Amino acid sequence: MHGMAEAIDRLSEGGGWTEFTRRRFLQVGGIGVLSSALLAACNGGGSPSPVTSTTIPGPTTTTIAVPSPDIAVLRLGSSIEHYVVSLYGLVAGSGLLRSSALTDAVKYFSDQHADHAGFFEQATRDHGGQPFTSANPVIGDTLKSRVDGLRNEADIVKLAYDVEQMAAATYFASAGTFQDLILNAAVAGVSGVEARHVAVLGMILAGLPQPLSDVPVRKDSPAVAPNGVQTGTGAVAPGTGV
Amino acid sequence: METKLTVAGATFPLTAPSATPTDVDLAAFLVTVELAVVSVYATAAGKLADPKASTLSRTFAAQHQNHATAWAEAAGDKAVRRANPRLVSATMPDLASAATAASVLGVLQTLEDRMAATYQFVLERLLSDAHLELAASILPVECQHAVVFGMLAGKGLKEVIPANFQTRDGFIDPSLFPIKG
Repeated sequence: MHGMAEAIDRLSEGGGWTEFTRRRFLQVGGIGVLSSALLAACNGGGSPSPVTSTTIPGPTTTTIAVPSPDIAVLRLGSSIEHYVVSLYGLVAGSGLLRSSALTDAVKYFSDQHADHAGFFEQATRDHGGQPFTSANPVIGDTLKSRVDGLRNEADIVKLAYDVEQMAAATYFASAGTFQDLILNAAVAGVSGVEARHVAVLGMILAGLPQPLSDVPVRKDSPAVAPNGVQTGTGAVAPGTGV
Repeated sequence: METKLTVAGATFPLTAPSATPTDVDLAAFLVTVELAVVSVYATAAGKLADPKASTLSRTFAAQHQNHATAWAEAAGDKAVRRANPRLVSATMPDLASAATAASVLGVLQTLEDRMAATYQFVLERLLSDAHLELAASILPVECQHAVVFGMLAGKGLKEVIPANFQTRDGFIDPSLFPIKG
């Protein structure tokens, strides 16, 4: 965590406000007032998370506890990963998978997402929060009709593509918002792998390098990276479902 | 200060951000690296006969040009708008000796994997929110480029997604690939 002294050092190192945004300043030296209900939601109702404390000078001294905003993102991360693992598990047991390419991808991706879930849970603990250890219920509800409607490999690939895109967008949306700067790199490291999943599924949808017999080639969108940059389109907001 | 991240029993080194090099230094470095990739793509284009591979290659080259432009804006007066000379000289021999389309695609995949690793390295050092956001928007795309070229080259899943976590292994080190050569 970055204290006020370090914030002042950063401001005086020549970068000034261009190196240390107002948002970061508020996170380090600012104040926040949150209801007890919101605090309980951020903590998952479990043991209270450590907070950053600050003192407001005045005739009387008041200390207001501010929970780390990083924990909300980390809990969302593990909830998404658990959802994806459960989705791939359902798909694997559905009997709908025909091609070895897709069967292998589902298994491989699922294992990687399980490891990502472990990372987010540990990161949550490391930052004093209560890890979220199950599938995100809001995402589950939102996608339930699509999951219930899966009828063939083409449906599976399209749904998996959209879900992986959602994960990548969500992790990107957290970039530059972390109080603990290390988390920018750590979470980006996860998003890089989700992006690779998107690329594999995008290639399958594009019929590259060769089309799968049960997956019609998609002609309404490019295989991968249409914009040249990852965007936050479709990102899930921190706090959703957790 | 070296920080480590453990995922599934594997340990990845992360480094806590420090003041040196500065965000502007890193931005200036990335301009030259992206432009080096653009120049490599220009050479590779002549060796990719397959229209799908050729089209994707041109699309990705344009994206790298846009990445360079974005970092040049971030670097301001420190921007040097030329391809990183050592990266170009390190990559071109492999491209020149690539005799098949698969081997050309393999060179491009390796380069993109190094770019992804480089962005991971950079993300461990950037301080400004805007620069962190820019780097985080580009890293996934380099990953996707690598997957596309790898799959077109006939590589399997574990070769296009070799690890559960993007690391800086194989990154293009600014101290070894300086801006001006």
